[in-house]
Amino acid sequence: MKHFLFHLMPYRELPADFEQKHESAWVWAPNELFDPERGHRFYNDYIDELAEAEPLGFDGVCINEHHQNVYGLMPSPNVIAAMLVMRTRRIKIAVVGNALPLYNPPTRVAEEIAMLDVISGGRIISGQVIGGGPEYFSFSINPAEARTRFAEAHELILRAWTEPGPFSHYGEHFKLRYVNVFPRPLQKPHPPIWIPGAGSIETMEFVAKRRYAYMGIPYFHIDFFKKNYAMFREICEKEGYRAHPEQMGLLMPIYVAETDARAREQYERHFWYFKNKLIPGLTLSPPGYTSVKSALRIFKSLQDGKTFINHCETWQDVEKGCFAIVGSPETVAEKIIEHCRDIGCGNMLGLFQLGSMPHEMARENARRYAETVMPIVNAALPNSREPMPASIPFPDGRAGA
Amino acid sequence: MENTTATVEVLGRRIHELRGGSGKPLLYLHSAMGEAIWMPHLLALAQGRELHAPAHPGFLSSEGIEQIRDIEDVVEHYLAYLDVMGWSSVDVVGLSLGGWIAAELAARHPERVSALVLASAVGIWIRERPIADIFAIDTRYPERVKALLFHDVSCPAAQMMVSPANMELPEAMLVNILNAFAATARIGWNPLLHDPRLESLLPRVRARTLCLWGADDRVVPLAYGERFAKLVPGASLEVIPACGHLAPLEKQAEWVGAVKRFLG
Repeated sequence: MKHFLFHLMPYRELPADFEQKHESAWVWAPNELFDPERGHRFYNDYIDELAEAEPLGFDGVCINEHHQNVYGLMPSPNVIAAMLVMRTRRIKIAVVGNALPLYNPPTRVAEEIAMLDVISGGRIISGQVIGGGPEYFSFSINPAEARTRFAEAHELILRAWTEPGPFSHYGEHFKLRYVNVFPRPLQKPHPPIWIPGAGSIETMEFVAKRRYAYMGIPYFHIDFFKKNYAMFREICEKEGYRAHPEQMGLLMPIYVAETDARAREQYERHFWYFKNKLIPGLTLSPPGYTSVKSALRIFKSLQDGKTFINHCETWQDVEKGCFAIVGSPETVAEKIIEHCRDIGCGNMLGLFQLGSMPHEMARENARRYAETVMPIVNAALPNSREPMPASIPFPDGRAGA
Repeated sequence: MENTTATVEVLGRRIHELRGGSGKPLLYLHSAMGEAIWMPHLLALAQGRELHAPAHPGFLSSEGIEQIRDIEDVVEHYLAYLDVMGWSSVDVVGLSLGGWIAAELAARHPERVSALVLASAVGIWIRERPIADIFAIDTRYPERVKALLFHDVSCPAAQMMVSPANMELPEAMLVNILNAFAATARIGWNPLLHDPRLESLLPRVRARTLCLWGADDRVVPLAYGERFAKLVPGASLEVIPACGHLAPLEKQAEWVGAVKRFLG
């Protein structure tokens, strides 16, 4: 099993009555709430937490991109990645991801990831995402163009990394006379690609065809993940290969303490801060952002009383749906082993800081996980010795060829 | 002609439209609700005129939304539609989104529109009085949607309004609502429901023009009616008291009366 420390960088000291005053943590949560003095402390704490993943023995760290919200303070994950490149020597740095439709031209992503890859000695994982629904409000990008912009940007970035330049790109959304990205990435043919998805078959097919890695978007009931990963493995079979464990990642809030009871006692309020204050607004789905079919499916899961984290009212709900893995080292290891075995995934992505959790507590959590949980999990689920399948960025031929 | 529906082919797109009544042709351009269905105000407009109410691309069963990038493509679509119908010029009534399309058509192709009703129309932007962001309304709260669209939320039309977040609705109706929202967003997501160039084009309009507004429009405030009336040469403004954005639904008789008086 590969272990990644994932950080959202939340705004962790919101006023107690935040959710009474504001319906959304996104788009409309007023930026007057951002206190730069606190922000200074949060960023430095979080960067320390991420950098410590290396001495603790993690395989990598994950950071992501969100705009104009209190849920995550990383509008530019590549800025944070640049700092982590200099604070670490060994571990992978997964930017999961850059929201491609928000970059114009998207060759900016090709340039920045290539810079990071070259400087880090080839330690970058390039996550590429469509961006959350709220981002289409915050960036004023037309949500109807989300999918086509993503597909075009993705292909353009891959071509920029792998084809000799200069070449021209005249697509539906981007018109570039000269594409000639300098530097090119160090990893050949390009950094590994991770693509998150929330269960849409189209995304799974896209990932499976290209032999990229699929990462389930978090905060769903564990049964929802199991169904989705089963579908992903099936789609890979249809493509004529067995999904490699490291083509799948499970992202979960995790907390480890001496005993189950102590873990819950210490953790619970931070979880509720996360769920009650930071989640509302996350699922905004602007018109045209998904197909009508997907929109109906999402509406249903948001209203069915169980599938998404918004339905958690009691700790029993949290435990039952496995919305967080919380307990003694044995309990946490047992759950991770059970779920990862079921899912067949080889990447465990843990959120060790969540919601209002203070710095020392988050550090201690990650340390306990590394020292007490990782060895049990690794003994039960050794890394696959099979190599990852080689990526096929253009399974249907290159647009420019 | 009896009140019916028809399919018209425009630029290779199959377009659904309502057709009814007899007399001089009258083109009705619907709002973001996609009301190319026989609602009472359309039945009334079809009395004494040959009414055509096509669904814009992406609404109901009309095709071609994937080829629409912005309002200019919609205008091209309707120019082609006028050609298909064989109208060198026509009277146009547009509600809200439809009013925007009508205003663009009359401004960019002044010879094709003879009389123009801009009803609660979007299309321009007044910085001090922004258009309400209809895409940001939380549809889980139908009372908020109603408070935005109507002056009196207890009026019969408001009572009948359904919420797109209501999963109890028949799937076909939900699909229509989601498609209508998506198509509207495709045209007017950003800049929000307006075209920054339109103001400078409005002086080109040659059609006789009526701006028809609800006094208490909370989506497109009356200031927009006043601005349109000022910019379109010779335009008049008629205001329906105690009435919100969906004026033909909330004050059907007054609204239809005003349109018919103007069209003559």
